[in-house]
Amino acid sequence: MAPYLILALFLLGIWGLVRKDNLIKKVIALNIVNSALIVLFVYMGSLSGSTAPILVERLHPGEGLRRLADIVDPLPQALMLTDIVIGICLTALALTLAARIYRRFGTLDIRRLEKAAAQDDGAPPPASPEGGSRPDDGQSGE
Amino acid sequence: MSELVILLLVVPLAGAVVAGLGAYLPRRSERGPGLAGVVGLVSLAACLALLIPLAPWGLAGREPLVYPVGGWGEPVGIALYLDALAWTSSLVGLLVAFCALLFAVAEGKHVPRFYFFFLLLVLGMEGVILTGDLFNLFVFLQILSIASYILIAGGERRQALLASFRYLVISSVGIGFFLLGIFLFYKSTGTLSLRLMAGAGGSFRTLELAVVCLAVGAGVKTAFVPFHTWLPDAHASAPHPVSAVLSGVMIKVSFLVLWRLVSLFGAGDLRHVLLWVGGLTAVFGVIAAIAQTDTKRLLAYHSVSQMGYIVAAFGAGTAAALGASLYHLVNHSLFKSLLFLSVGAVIRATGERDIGRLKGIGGLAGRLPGVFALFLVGTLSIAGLPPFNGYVSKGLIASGLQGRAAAYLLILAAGAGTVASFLKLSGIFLARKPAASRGRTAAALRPPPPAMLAAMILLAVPCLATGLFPRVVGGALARVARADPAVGGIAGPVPGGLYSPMHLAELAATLAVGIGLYLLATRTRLGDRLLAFLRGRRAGLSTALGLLVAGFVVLAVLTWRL
Repeated sequence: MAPYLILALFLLGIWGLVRKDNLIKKVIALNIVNSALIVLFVYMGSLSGSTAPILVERLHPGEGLRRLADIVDPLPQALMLTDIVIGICLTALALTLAARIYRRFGTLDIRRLEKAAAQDDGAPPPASPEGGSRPDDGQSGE
Repeated sequence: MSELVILLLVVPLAGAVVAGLGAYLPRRSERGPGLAGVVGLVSLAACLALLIPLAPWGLAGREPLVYPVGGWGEPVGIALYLDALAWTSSLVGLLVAFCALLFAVAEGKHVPRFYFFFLLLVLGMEGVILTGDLFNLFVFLQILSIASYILIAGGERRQALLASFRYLVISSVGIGFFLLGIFLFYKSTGTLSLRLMAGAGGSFRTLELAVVCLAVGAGVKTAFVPFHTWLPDAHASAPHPVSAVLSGVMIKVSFLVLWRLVSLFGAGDLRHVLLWVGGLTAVFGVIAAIAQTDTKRLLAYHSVSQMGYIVAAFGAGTAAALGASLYHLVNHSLFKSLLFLSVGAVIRATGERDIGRLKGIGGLAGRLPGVFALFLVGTLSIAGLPPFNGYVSKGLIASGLQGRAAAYLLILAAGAGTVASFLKLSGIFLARKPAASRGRTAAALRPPPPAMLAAMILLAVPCLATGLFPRVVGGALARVARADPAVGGIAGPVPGGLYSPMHLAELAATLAVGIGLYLLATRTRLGDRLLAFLRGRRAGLSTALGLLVAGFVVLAVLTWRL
């Protein structure tokens, strides 16, 4: 069951990234994708044993070794701590960028942003009055 | 001796911190940025100097140098490996980074924060090259990426912010796939060390899927079709030295990740897919490049196209092709950075970046002779004219692809397109001065400072050297490529027949078709319309992400079935 839920979470994030137009929502969706991966590592890692990966000899004299053989692999969890930190960096950076984009473009809607950026470049052939081809024509006439 | 390896990481990091401190000098002092730049240059020069005592491991084919970080051995700790591939890519990467940084210092408009992130990017690059641990690789890849997002966002125009955001989202999803690949690897082999992993068994199917996931992650950063969507915007909007580093270092480093992973696991099926992907990428990139009117976007699409050459040759997988792939990788790092810097110098001098408008100014070849000469070196290199390095590596790739007719033809077609699009780009220098009717006067130009020219000369000289001494360079790189276990002990390519009639005929055909294509594309109404149509086709972010996921599925299915 759990693997399917994780897959669903992952796909939900991808769906949000593709379908939501607001940049902030895209950042949220990115976090959902990342969470899916974190849960995957932690959950699948937890299947490798049944007790916490703590040296237990002193807590349970006599049966520590038996418990040691049954510990959860600590590595995936440790890796995910790193990934969470990186995820926070990325989120902070993405939100900063979104704020700056809003200041410069006046919108957070990706479609309008892309249209505005294309217009700045003079890219769409019908819309731009002074696209690149005009001076080019002048050259070839000479 | 092995302590020197960790210094390759420590020095840029220390340099970054010191350069960053430049921001906290008293407000009054205006030397902060300049000092930060010098700190950056010194630390990169120190890194380059570190490579000298390490040269025996890079060139003489000794066993890789291992440095266990913190003194912990491999199954527990992380080890750094310095082998021939790592040494060579460090050399090229650091050289390009040094030249770009010199250019940035000469521009003299960057704040200390810029140098901080620039050095962080170099740290990430070195980390990716050196680490022997898969998760560590992921961390360094993220450091590299985050530094590059910030540097791109520092571009002058407001599109830079959007380009950076798009790149952030696309590459984060790509790296998400990479993380998935790491998980699958760990699950089936029980270790994260690349060396130990190669020996460990595991479910073959899971491993294959894992390699595909990792390849998608690396592929998004390497920007071959269909993962290229972020590159033109990002590379075109970034500040000029950053564009040079992105094209010369970033996409190469991620390709080396792919190289290592594929050659470690001998994923032959994936290689076969990459041959096709590379050929298509080369042609696609060049078609899109001809359509561009923005100088830097044109160069950016060429990065896509040239990576196609490299990926295709890598996919062919023979000893000759691998040597050629590596050769072209080195060459492309050099000449594409040179091109970005020289075009950057033109943009800085004129304040214009549109090909048509630059032509309108006219007479730039005479007014910026130094920049023009250096631009010419880069252009002749990328167009593959002898005796420049592009001719050598493209010739090697062509002979490496013998027996694979389709890929060979794709590569030749891309070569013709390259000629056509650089004829178009050279127009910015070659256009004559328009009749004095237009108002702009010569005074409007800002001549490049000597340091800027020096940065470009430092790149142009190796461009010439790798072209003039193909035997020496080719032999060395073939030895590096031979470290790839999939190739075994087969002798590498000795480019003896480089100027054979066969290759010269290829060259003549490429040039003829290229010139024809140029005339067709720019001098006819149909070509104009076609180019305008192509220019208007831009992948939105949603399309880009859709392509990414679709690319993953296709790659997985193809690899699975073959």
